[in-house]
Amino acid sequence: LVNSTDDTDIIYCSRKNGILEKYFYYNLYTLNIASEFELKGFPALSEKPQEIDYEVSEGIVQKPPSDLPNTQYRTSSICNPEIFYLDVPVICNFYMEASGTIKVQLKKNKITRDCLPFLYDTVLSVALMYQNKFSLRASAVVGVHGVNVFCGGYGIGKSTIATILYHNGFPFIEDNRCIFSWNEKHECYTATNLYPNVHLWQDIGRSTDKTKLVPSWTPRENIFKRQYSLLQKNIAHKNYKVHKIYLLQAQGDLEITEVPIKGLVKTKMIKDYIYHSQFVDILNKSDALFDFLARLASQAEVSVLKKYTKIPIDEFVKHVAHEINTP
Amino acid sequence: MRSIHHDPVLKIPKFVWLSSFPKSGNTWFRSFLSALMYGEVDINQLNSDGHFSSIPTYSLMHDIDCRMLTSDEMFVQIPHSLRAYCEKVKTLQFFKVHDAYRHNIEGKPIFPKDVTHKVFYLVRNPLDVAASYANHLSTTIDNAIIQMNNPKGSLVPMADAGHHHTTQLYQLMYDWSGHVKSWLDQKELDVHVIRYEDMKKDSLQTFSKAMESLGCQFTQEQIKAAIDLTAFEKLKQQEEEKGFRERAKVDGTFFRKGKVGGWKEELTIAQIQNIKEVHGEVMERLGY
Repeated sequence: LVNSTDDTDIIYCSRKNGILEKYFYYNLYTLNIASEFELKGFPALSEKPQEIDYEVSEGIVQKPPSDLPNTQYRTSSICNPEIFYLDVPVICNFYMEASGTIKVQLKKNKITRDCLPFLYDTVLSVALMYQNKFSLRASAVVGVHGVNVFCGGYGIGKSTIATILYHNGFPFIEDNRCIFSWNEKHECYTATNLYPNVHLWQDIGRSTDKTKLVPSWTPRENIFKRQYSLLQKNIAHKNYKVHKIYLLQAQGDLEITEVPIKGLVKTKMIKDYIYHSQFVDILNKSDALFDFLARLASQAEVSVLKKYTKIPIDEFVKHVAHEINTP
Repeated sequence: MRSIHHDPVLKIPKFVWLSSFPKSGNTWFRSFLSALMYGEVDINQLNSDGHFSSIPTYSLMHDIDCRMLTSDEMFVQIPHSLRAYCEKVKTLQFFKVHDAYRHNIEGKPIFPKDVTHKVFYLVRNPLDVAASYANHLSTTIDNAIIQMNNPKGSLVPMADAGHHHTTQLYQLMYDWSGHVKSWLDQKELDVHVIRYEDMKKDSLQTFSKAMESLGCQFTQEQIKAAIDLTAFEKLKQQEEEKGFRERAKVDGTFFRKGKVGGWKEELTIAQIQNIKEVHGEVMERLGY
């Protein structure tokens, strides 16, 4: 099976007498996935993994009843330790079972490709949590002391910062979602590049020289976000120890200011950048998350980095580059 | 922090839309509300700081990255989102909006009547808006006038069918007259018009009338104290000291002169004629 190359079509595996013959296999941020349709933007595995964490398919999704016990009902989602339901307005509905299935039903006039960004974002985050894994809303590159992580909310410039640093020779790890591995031998969290891609908005981030990047695909038609491929030689190929976590904040300040965080507050502050942490408690993952955060916070330096309003982003990144490159 | 949230009207879980064409006193009015409700003003933390076009708000509400929805998709969803929002809150929600009043591709109003308590429509003489808008956009006055005369004018541009700004939705405003007429001529929502010039000339009476129209019982002393806290020079000083996150461009300032009639010194005869020619009818309607 070969991934499709154009921007519009999603390949489905062949069916014979209604029975699915083959799956596409992927490893998405440490989860082994078997999908009946292509998960564009990620490289398909050439062989079936020994164990599959989730099977993804298209089908009819029914909204769970409104009186399930121990269940969190939010505006668009229903969540408990066994099931997760998500209504993506105008696009699709997802139904995931913690035991390992994800089903998607498209809404009127939508194509499979339309649902992928939401599968990769919210559904994948919850799928990871079901497996006691947590991801940070962050980009990351390798500096002289190890991995530097840049946490921030939507639109703060995580991908832009990582891309400029990549252009400046810092080995690239991730532009949007950081997953760390626990190294038993050295008792520390490490990170490596999982996908040699970066996602950038077309109308912003002018400082990121897109001419040096190779466009691969556009996640949704008419959405001006594009995935670019990165050069193998400029990405981090081995596991590096996590060194420092920068919590990016947009402030009215006229200067770049860094405020080091000490003690238990570090744990609390990093938690704000966990992908979709609003589901942690209802999934009974609070202890697992605390364990992850406490170990991460005891290992890494943490700083709040207040981000310019008047200072251009390349100047801000120059400041960051100096910081992470200083022995 | 002093709070006077005990007024029963403020406990209605609906929206008050603070609508205006840019540079018409919206931030000043929101600062006033913040001062009135909480007794203090930080221009970067305005307590009446809800923004109709805030993508992160919708993302948080729906547990998804709403930047991956097109403008058309967002505006189909928004009326439902606003209703869902009102189910969660317990008080009046003062939301800033620069969009024109309009309908989505399904023909439904994007500002639903059933969750709207009131519209404050803030308006300013377009001759004064021109120079201020030029400063806001970091462009020439001529270019700002072109924007103000553009029937398809928008604050955040839309490319093809998709919004592609990371934090704000595409905001269709029409031209200056179109914006005014969209809000003042619609028949669904209750609109109270506030002229910038009246806010300057007779602040106490103008702000008092606005609060009365809302149905709130504030004393003249409370309103006067809030007006004093939000004097133009005080807001401008805050921006000089701490910056202002709502400023559009990295250079320049948001709070410029705040003057009424500044156009007489700043606009050429041709620019004045141009604005009057395009917007004269609506200007006259508003007493300009």
